[in-house]
Amino acid sequence: MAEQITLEIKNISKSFPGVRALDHVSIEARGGEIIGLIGVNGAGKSTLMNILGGVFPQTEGEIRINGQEIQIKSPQDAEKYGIGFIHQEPVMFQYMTVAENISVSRLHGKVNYKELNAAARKHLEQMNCDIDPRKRVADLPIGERQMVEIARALSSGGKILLFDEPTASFTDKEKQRLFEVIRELKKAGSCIFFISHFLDEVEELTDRTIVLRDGKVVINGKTADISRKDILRNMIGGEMAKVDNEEERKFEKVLMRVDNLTAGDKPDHVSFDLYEGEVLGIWGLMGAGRTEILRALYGLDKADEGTVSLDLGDGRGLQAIPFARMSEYCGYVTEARHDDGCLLPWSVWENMSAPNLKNYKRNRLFLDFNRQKEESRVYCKRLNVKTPSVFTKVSTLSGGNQQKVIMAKWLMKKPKVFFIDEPTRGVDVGAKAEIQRMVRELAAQGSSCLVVSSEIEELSAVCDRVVILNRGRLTGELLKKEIDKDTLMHLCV
Amino acid sequence: MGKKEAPPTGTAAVKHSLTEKLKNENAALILLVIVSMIVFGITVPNFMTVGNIFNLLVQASTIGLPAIGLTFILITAGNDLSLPTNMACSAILGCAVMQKTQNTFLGVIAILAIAVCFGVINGFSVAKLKMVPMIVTLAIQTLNVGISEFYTQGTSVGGLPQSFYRIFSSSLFGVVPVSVIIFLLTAFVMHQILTKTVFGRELFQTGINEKAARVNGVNTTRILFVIYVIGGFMAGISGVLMAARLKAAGTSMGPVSAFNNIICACVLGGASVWGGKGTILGTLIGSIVMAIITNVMNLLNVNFFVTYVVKGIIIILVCYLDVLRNQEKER
Repeated sequence: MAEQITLEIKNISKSFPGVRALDHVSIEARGGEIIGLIGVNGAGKSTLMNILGGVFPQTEGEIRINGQEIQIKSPQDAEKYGIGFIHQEPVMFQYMTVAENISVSRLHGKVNYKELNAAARKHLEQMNCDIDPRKRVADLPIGERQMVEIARALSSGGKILLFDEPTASFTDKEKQRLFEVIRELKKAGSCIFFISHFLDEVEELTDRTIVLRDGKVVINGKTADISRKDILRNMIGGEMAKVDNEEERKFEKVLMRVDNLTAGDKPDHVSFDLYEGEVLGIWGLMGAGRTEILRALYGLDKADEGTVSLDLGDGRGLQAIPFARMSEYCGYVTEARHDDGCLLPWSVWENMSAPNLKNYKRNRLFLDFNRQKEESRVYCKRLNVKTPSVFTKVSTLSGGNQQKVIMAKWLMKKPKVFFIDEPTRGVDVGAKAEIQRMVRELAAQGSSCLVVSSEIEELSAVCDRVVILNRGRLTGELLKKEIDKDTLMHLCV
Repeated sequence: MGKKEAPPTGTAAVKHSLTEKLKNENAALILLVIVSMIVFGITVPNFMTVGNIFNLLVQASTIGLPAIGLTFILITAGNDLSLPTNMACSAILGCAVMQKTQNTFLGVIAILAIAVCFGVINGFSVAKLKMVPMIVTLAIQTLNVGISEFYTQGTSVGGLPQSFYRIFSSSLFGVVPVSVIIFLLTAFVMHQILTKTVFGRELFQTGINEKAARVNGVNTTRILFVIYVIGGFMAGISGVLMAARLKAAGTSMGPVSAFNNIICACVLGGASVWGGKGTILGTLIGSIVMAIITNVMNLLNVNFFVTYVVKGIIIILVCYLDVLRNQEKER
């Protein structure tokens, strides 16, 4: 083998406000090696890759390539040092050709398309890829776009290639093709980092496995020597935290029945029952289709197949409800507060009454604003929303309080079913406990909740039952007492 | 207006909500109107006569009625370039019906119905087919001009029944023109709808954050559709009043350039092309300001083409005002 590239990462640390994303991470790697990098969401994988790729400037520690210390301050620097970053969702110029995309950082002045296309073809052939360089990227399937992205990294002399969850949206065939390419690259002497949520992929492809947890390296060894059980245990860290030892509750009446729900490739024929007064968790890794289930059920995304029925309490039992009308009976606490949760320029009371205007009418035509304000005040007090008054703009409140305003607006509507997506993401610890308690209270009062969360502690604290989702399909179901990390991880990877 | 209420915790500072700010902006505009009235009253001959003031209000109603419709549309960050041409086109076709039948009632209904039809086409294209408002309404504008010019062949449709003129171009007590009364009444009703009904609140939700509005259960497609229909209806009312005043309907009633006055009135009144903002009171005052500018230039015998230059400059200034306000909002 020709000269071997070596990469040394020493004592890299990175902090974000409130979080230590990387804590003295040291890794050595050399050409001809595939390193699998795994860890739960927030373990620091992406932060590490973003530092190597020049997305986040490196602040602490040192990086050496071939023994020489380097400073990566920008993606251009990374490219200069031969580091290629292949993103999960290929970032490309859709309406430019494949060749143009591959050479995009070197396009200026008069472009010689003959040379450009020839160079692109060379790099694509290196990967046994026969994509026409003159095609527009927009016309390629996602798997081929990934190939173009890899070719782009190679064309700038990339010897260290970072793959950030490249297979997340791949079909099986595309995945196998990618793996072949990666093995080819390895033979050619590249040093490859492969991030994935899927343990089988890491086992199949990599030579070495590195597990990150809370910004630290907890496992670093030959993939063949490490058991899956070790990996799982170390990903999560120790035993499970103690949760409230509430009695197992009995449920009898089905409130909502979901049958064969399918929307695009995820969710994929999902069926489950939600009982009255039950908190049902949906657990799965990122990209498993958790949010997509809620969105399809709520009528925000178009469902291709499947039905949902609700027991409206009028003695007629379960009735099929069109998805478009589900918002009349359900409340939806969304994952992205700023994106689709609150109306930021509006005040607290305006936000709290927004989904429920029909119930605040003074007469047939006009709204009763005083009642809206009064009830908002009551709910501010009940949920302990820290705001100077109900006239305060929601944009000035903290994340936790915004989340409480969102919870309050649905509590005021009193829906049959609550959809709750990552209720405590980006919320401080105090508000987190309050919000979790609130979910339990809802259930105690007879409402049913469908909760999506990436935190196992959260699910075991609030849920009576958890269904497990893997790539759009339900793969298992656990009762409260069975919820534990090992089982969850086994069912979802 | 149901919004006067002492805040519970006695914090006066937080009461300066969005509505408060808009009211202040309106106060500034009203002040501008009064000052300019006084200045022009002194400097421009014939400005401060009763006849001219009502003339001015009639002009304001021609701008203001479609501007009320446009305010609803601007709140969703949409646009309707076809408002003035729709006004002319529906007036021409409706007046043709009136001329043939000599039936005032039928004619007025025809004008309104045709105007609403164009609104429905706009609304359907934007809400259901997800087309870009600017392009759709530009297409309808072109279509309107084509129909109008083709039907009238450069003349105008006259010979309408006397009762039509008597009803719509008379003056109450001999001084207050009916068109002004209808304009103010419409503004009052639309203000109530915008500020006090479920529809109005859902409209603002759609304009501020369409995704959040959908999560809140707002049928945003329906909202988007309805506002363009309202826009068409407003153009129709304006068309009825103008045809009665001119005693005929012709293409000159709603030239393409009239849109400038309409959008200026809205933006001066606090609406924003970025969406999420707008009041009927503001638009009302905005249209009076635009009418004053037109009126004064008429009285001063400013060259017709020079008025275009002046209005072009005003539009640029008003657009910049919109940008400034928006930056303030983001801060």
